[in-house]
Amino acid sequence: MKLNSNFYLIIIAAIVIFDVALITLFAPTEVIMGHVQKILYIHVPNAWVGFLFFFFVFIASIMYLITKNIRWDYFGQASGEIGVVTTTIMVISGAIWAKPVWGVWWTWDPKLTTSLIMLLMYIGYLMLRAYASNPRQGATFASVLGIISFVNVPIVYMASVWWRTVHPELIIGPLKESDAGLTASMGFILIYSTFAITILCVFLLVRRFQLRTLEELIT
Amino acid sequence: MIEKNSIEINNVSKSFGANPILNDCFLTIKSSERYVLLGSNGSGKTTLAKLLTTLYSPDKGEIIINGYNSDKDSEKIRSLIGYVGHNSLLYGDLSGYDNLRFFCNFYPDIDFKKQFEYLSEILNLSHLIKQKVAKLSHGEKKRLSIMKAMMSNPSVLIMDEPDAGLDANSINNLIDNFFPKVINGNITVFLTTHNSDFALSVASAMGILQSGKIEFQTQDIHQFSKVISKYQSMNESVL
Amino acid sequence: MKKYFLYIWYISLKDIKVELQRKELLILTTIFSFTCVVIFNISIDVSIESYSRVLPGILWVTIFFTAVLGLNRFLSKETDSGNFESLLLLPISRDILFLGKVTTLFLFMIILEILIFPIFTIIFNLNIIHIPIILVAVLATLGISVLGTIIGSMTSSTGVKETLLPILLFPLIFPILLAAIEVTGSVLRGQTFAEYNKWIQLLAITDIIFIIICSFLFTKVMNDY
Repeated sequence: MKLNSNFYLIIIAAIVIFDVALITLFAPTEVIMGHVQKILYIHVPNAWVGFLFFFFVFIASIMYLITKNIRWDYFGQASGEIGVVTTTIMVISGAIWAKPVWGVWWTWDPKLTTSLIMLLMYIGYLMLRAYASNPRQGATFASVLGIISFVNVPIVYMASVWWRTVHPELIIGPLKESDAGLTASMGFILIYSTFAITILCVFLLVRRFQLRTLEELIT
Repeated sequence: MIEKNSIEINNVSKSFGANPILNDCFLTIKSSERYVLLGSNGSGKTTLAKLLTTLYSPDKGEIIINGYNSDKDSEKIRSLIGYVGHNSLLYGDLSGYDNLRFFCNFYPDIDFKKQFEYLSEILNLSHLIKQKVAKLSHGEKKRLSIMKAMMSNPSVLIMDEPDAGLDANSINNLIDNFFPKVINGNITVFLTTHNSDFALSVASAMGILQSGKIEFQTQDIHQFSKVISKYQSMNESVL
Repeated sequence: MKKYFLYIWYISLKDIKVELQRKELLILTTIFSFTCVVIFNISIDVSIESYSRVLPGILWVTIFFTAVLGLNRFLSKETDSGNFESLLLLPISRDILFLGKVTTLFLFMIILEILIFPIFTIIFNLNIIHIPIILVAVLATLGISVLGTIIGSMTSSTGVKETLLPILLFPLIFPILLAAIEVTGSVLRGQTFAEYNKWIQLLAITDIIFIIICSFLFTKVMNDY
């Protein structure tokens, strides 16, 4: 698969631009929330990719510890870097959406809480690798942390769910993330957006992986 | 009688980051051999010593000690080696006696009292053993760490520059007392050093580590002086 | 099997002996946590009736920061003098070493909590010495010890150990902290066991999961130390 060629880049750019067009021009404006609701088309796909790539970090960590093949570490690092970006976009877009709709920038809703903790673990994962004394040690340490962090995610979610039921006053706004139901066209655009952003991020992942491999060859 | 190999280093490579330290290194040490490895600073002697202790594991190749593979049976290997390194590996806040007691807890088959009395006498430590290790001089700490290495009755002794920091008396004590009486041809020794006289006094085999490989090695004592002059000329050319 | 636990105990016992010589770790951490308590007390402006809502958080945040401080000192002392190597050279599996360190940290923290709980009770005039809270303290301390030991052993070999440790540790012990705070709060509000029981179960399960996983992963961390 020759990703050096701009062929794939053009196709993916087209997919994403079409997505932007869909969202801005064709997506129906939601009755209750207004235009703000369209942020969901950014928020949800990035959330999905954020969690998916954290899973990739988990797999990369396990595979590196088993095979000791440094390319698994490159894969983990690339997934981590992109995952940080998508998770950050998710958190910020969520806050932008929440302010007009719920009245607050932030709330300790389980999904938000878990996402924030996951973001912190992502960042820690990248930092530990960066501060290790040599690349091999960095790869080992990061893999260990990657596994522990991923195992922590469901525990964090459970704790956040119970926390929410104990302190409902911390959660303002509807308990479901989207108050109104999605119409058919909204649903389609949401799925398409998810597809577009996933494809874009996978492309970036492969590119970053290749770049990382090249970095090692040069040094 | 087949002479068993005590230590086998087969095609071992090791690097930290981008720098390869050992490169397709081969070495075979027979049972009861006293192998002295010479090498300039940074040549990888310490790395090789640590590979033998299982503190490091090879990137490529294998290390076999008394038939055990260092990756698969590292616990078993650790039970039959003794190691003397650059750090004393002793707890400064405890006395020598408490240190040894602690480490010997994990070797239940050892007769602690007997080993303790025997070794503290030979290494001239009897009067120091109850003092806190932090209060000992560098040379005394070194002798104590040699004692610690021998307490477990190892069949392989790995010493990384054991003479470093020792005064002439202590080195002579090693040569005249420790090696003949304690080692006594029963223990395989792997030793690194810069000191050519010390090397000549204790070695039954010698080699030079250079460019990540063992070169110019010999088990013929008549060749030792040649190896030493080769080593010294290598160092001079570097300087 | 018995040897397994015996060896873990020997490692921990050695650490205790060393600490008894210097006593610095326990003294430092106790004074530090006392300082935290005082700072929180004077800076959080609540009426006495609200103490029961605020105190659980203060208590556990203090314990967390003290644990981080203690961990940094505890692990760097070993690595600085190269003594970690001597432990790695022992003919024991790495998980024994790991659990030995966890035991030491656990015992230190328990002793610290034994000192801190009465201080809290006095300064805030609120009795926190109840059986469920003690149970939760034991479980939470165990979880923090396990995660702290493995993360700490990795950060101690980086250059930025003191700052990196809390950054890495906090998200991992977040559920443990949450559970400890919730149960403490529930007990102080007089709720029934059935109401906070699930948090205790969460703590127990989390502890078991992480003890198993981290013991195994510690072996990987210790390669090429």
